[in-house]
Amino acid sequence: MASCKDELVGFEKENTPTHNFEQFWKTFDEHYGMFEYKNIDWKTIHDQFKPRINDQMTDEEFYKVLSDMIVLLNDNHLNLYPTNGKLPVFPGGVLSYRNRQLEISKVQEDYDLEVAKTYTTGYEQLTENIGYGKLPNNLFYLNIKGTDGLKDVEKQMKKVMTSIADANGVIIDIRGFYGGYDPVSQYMAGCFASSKKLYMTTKKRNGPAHTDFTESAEWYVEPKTSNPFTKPVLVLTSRFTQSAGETFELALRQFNHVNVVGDTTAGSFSDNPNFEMYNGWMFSISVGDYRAPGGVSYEGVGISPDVYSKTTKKNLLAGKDVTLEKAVEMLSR
Amino acid sequence: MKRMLTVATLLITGIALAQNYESRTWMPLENRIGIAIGIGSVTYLDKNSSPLVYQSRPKNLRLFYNLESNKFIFSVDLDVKMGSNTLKYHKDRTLFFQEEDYKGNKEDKKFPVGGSFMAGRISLGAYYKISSAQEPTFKVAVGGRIMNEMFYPQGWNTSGIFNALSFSPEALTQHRVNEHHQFTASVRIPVVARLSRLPYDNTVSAPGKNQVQGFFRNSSWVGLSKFLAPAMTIGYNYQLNTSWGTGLSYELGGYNIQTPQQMKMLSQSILANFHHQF
Repeated sequence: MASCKDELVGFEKENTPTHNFEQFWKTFDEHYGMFEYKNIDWKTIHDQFKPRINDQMTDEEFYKVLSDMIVLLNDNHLNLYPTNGKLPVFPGGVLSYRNRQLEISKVQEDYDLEVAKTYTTGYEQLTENIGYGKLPNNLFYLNIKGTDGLKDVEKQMKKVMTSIADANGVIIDIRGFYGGYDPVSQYMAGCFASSKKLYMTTKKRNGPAHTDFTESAEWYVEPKTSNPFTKPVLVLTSRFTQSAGETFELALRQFNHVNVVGDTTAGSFSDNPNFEMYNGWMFSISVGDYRAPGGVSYEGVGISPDVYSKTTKKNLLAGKDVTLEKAVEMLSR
Repeated sequence: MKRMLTVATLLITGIALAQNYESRTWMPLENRIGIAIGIGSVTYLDKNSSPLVYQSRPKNLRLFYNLESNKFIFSVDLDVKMGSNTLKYHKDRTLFFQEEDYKGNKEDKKFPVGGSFMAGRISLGAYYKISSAQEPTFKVAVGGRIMNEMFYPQGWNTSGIFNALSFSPEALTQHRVNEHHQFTASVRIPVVARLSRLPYDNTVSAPGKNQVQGFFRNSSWVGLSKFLAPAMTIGYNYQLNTSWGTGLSYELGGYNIQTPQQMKMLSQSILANFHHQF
């Protein structure tokens, strides 16, 4: 029966580094959404890395080749998941230049929710990813670090909106918003929308050619509650604000009552489903081309803040959140 | 082995319980309501997201209701399969995360790459009896079945997810050896289906849509060329008396889905049932 199953369902190719490399390269070739935008010659990259592949190489050597390839795409949404339990998951990582060297920042050193909470009173964690508390001068602090189920978010955001209705301003902290589901971000941004505005267009790969894409989908942000908050809002960002965190910021940026304080975001917007190789390893691929209104892409670049501010590791260790302090000061003027 | 023993025990218990009922005249029309439990195996290769073969050995629960008149048979089935889901050739995958925070705390975390399998099916069938003697020993009926089936494996990869609302012509046959022993068989093939699959990009996000709405956006009407899913069932029933019966059935189904990229699946299950006849 086993061989009958194989006949009916199909066979896997032999698990060799050569087959795995070709599968990895081909899956990117047929699914990655930003070859054109980033002007990447993927065939050349294949030819550059192929000589480093042989069927006698170790897992460690193979891992090194693939992670070196991923870094060339400058995309924080590309992860390599070895599944032998020995090699660590390779995060696409947040790229930054330090001492003129391109590095991947793996440790967030400019934000700690526990430090931020010390500036608030009555901080309440409403869902796994949404919490809020009061700040001095009738300001509110809202922390979002991901997206929960839409129904739950709708229910909890109604509670938030009622609580902050009389506030002079709100600080929305998304420095630890590492991603989630874009339509939930769209809904949350709508709680601070004064009108309906286009904030993003997305198209995704729908075929093997680099130019094969779906029609563009238009994402609008519009008031989602009976009492959207349209008084001053400051959004706090960092290099670790990623994915659905960035699309959330993009939506909020369409409104004049919203300003952004902090650091440039990660620059990784697109959805990134996982694919697999014959050795069982997984890898994620950004399959879309996401644009701001006007066709601007922030992929691999990130969105710059209106006011730059960065809390340092030293600040955090001393229990200080310089960026949050700056935001409170700006809203209290 | 444990599962097989459980199924056998239930079967024997059912027989023992039902033998206490007084024997009455045999009823020619078989109106039945029953429950079946069993085990299965599902093997698939979904090239839309992976070149690897997945397999599951789910537990299977089925509720069924049959209504028979002199000329027609009607049936309603609800079937659920649940179990774990792994790669066929890489069963013990482990992920290794190295985490570090700004305070210098380092933590190594290892997770098995787990997965679960869930499939559900609800179907309504209506059949015309070609042979309908008063107490036939051999019945043949032909008709059709409207069925919604959902395959929802969950894990780190989106392989194998689909929903199909389909219409299948179906033929049933039943041979009653005597008042206790009966054999059945059926065969069906969907000829048209409303097929929902993840798109080529394997994502569901879309403006203003939750994940379920996002998934069903990628639905289309398809015929045999894109959704080939023949299935057959054979069964044996032991009628304990005019009110109670028990039996075993084996179901085999194949799937060859051609959108957005090829997915092939083979599904088998063996079930023990216990039914009330009225």
